[in-house]
Amino acid sequence: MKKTLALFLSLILLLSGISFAAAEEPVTIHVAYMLTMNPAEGRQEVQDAVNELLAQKGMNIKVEFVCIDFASWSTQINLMLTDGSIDLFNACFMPSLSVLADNGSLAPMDDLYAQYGQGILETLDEYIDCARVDGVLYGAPKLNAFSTALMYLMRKDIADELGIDPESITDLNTLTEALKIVKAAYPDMTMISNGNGGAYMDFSGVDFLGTEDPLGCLILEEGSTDLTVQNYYTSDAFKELLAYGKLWSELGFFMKDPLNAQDGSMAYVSNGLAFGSFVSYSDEETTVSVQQKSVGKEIYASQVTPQAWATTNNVSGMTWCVPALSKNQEAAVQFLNELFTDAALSNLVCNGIENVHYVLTDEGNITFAEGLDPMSTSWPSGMGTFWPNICITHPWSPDPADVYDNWLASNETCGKSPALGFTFSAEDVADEVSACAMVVDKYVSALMLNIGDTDALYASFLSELEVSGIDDIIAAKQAQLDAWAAIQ
Amino acid sequence: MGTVKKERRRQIIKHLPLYIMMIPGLVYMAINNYLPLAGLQLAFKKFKYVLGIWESPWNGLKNFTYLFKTGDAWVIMRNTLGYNLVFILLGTLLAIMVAILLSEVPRKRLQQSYQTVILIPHLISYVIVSYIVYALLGESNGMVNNSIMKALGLSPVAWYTEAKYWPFIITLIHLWKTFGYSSIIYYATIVGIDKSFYEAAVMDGAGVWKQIRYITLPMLKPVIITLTLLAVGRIFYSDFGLFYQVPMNTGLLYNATNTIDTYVYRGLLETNDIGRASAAGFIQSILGFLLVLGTNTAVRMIEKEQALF
Repeated sequence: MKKTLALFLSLILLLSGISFAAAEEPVTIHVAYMLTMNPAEGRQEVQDAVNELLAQKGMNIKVEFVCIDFASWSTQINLMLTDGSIDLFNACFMPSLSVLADNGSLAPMDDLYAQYGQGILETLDEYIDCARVDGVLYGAPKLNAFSTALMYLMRKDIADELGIDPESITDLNTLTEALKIVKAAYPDMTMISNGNGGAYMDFSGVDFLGTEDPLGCLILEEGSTDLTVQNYYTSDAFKELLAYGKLWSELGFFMKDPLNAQDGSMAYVSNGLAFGSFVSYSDEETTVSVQQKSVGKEIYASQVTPQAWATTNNVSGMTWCVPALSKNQEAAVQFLNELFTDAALSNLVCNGIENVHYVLTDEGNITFAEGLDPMSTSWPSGMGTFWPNICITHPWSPDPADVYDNWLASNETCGKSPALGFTFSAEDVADEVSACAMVVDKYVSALMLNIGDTDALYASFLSELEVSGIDDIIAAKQAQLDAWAAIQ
Repeated sequence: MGTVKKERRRQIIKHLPLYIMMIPGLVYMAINNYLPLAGLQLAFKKFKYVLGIWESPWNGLKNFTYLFKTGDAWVIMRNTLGYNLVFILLGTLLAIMVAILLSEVPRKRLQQSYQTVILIPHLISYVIVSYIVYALLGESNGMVNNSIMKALGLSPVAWYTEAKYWPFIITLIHLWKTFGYSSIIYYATIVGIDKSFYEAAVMDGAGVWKQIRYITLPMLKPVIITLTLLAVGRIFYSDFGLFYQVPMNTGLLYNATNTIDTYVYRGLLETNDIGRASAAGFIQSILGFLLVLGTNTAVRMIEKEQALF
């Protein structure tokens, strides 16, 4: 009897011991990580280091990276949103936040951030509102230089040789004059390369108001707070671009067979076929520092539109979200908060482990550890911009140590769209948006490259847009925007 | 009664290995072909990730409207059905012709090598085909413009910007890519025709043309009907590679290259809308199914024993 009792008691002790240990067991959260060229073979090491750091901070959270190849990113994430197998992900290369929010894939964040996400809210300040849909917060845009202006990026060697001063290029007119000089010296070279499908520039100074094309937009002007939604394709701004397109095509600035281009526009600068290309960044220094590595040639950048603008589209393109089906939403937000605020953690995920993947230099930036390069390192070096806060990490050589101060300053000084923080919900006009998007695909590249009878094409472009319901889209945007403005 | 039952059981036991062999196939069919049928309901639902397939709310026919709201709805329908009709007609003709020619090749070795050669296009991915076509038709470096048109004294044509050439280009590429595969099927049937028919025909003085007309073609009829019925069932579908990759998704060619599949792809690329995508699939499969039923009924009315079911 005594023996049985003793056995019974020890069993109870054992059981309570187990349940006590279970309470201490950390919550494991799965964080999606995108693989590009580098297969990230050191993921276990970095993951262990992250978990060690979290344990040191006394957080009851363990992190597991779910590595997904870039090519299958959107399909895989989409699948994982249906079964809750990830807890935190960057919603890039995915449908817009309003679509994701509308189809119920994202967990609402207001309460969770209030409790666990103070660091996120402080870091992003007013820009956090760009992740709101119908007033509900759905995530945290990764910290970035949020504004964009149109830049012309060019090869430094040729510009120097021909005495072209990038400072002297300030708009499309001065750009055209400079390119004429280059074209005369290098008649076989493309002056303005384009990407797949023929597009060669982003529309700058326009707030698209949440659609992929400017189907109903605000045309941004300094000092103006006008909230009238317009049809961009009938605006003077677009007509001016068409006139430049015509001029540039007559001057032979475009590629041969531009509609058949199969590469990104920058690839043609890299491989020497093109002198330059249009890109969109916040300022000239950032353009050079971001693009230099991928182009592989020394470059200049000239801003050719008057001002850099921040719009909801620019800000919310890479937003960190928690799936609605995640069972560890609190832990996910806690970890996200650390990613935004803890420099050591952010350095780990952005750059890898010090002295294993990178070493600090005397200039305060970092470079590859002995014998490594972008392909042979076991933690991708160029993926810092994927993570929530690159601005608290060490920049890579040759960027100066204070390069990210530049970004943060630009977020203060840039123009802000009067609709910043407004997100359009396309649900009611989804049919019209689909139909108009196809019309845009059909005509815009050809029009801008001056292919075919552009006057006739432009007329049928506008009439097909009308048939497809662009006016309904504009009206819907106007109504939602007015409602949004009324409660600001 | 008892003996019938016993007999049946004996039969089952006797053929047990065959029944067991059937199981993987049945399971595969059930999982792959029948289970997804439940997903058809998505076409009538507003899919919410948090709620899943069964719990998501119904939203009537709202998922279907985008297919018809575009000003190009008519062009898209015309392209999808038009191309498929032409493909069925010309494809069948060409395949039968090649199959008969193949069967008339006297030397076995030659016959085999022809069979292999005509199958090659079928094995090339459309992505690669698109580059071959581009090498031929590219405006500035393409072979047609630079070697052929120039030699003939014709001015170069901007192939990728003129929609009017593409109905012919697309049809040509489709025939080139598919004729080998379908002619092999017809050829297999021709090989199986009893040789004594032909011997008897020769005795009666029938030439090659008459042999084809009165023996080969009638013997091929069931296969032609079956293959055509199968093709009719897929008449609302189009090969995405042929209509998207080969014209390199060039906007100016949409009038000649936009089909239901490419429209759905372009329209839903931005929104990942599962309900609308299912609606397109629903229309394609249900209309195709009805067409197969209709065609089969027509065949049965003309010639009962030739109908598929």
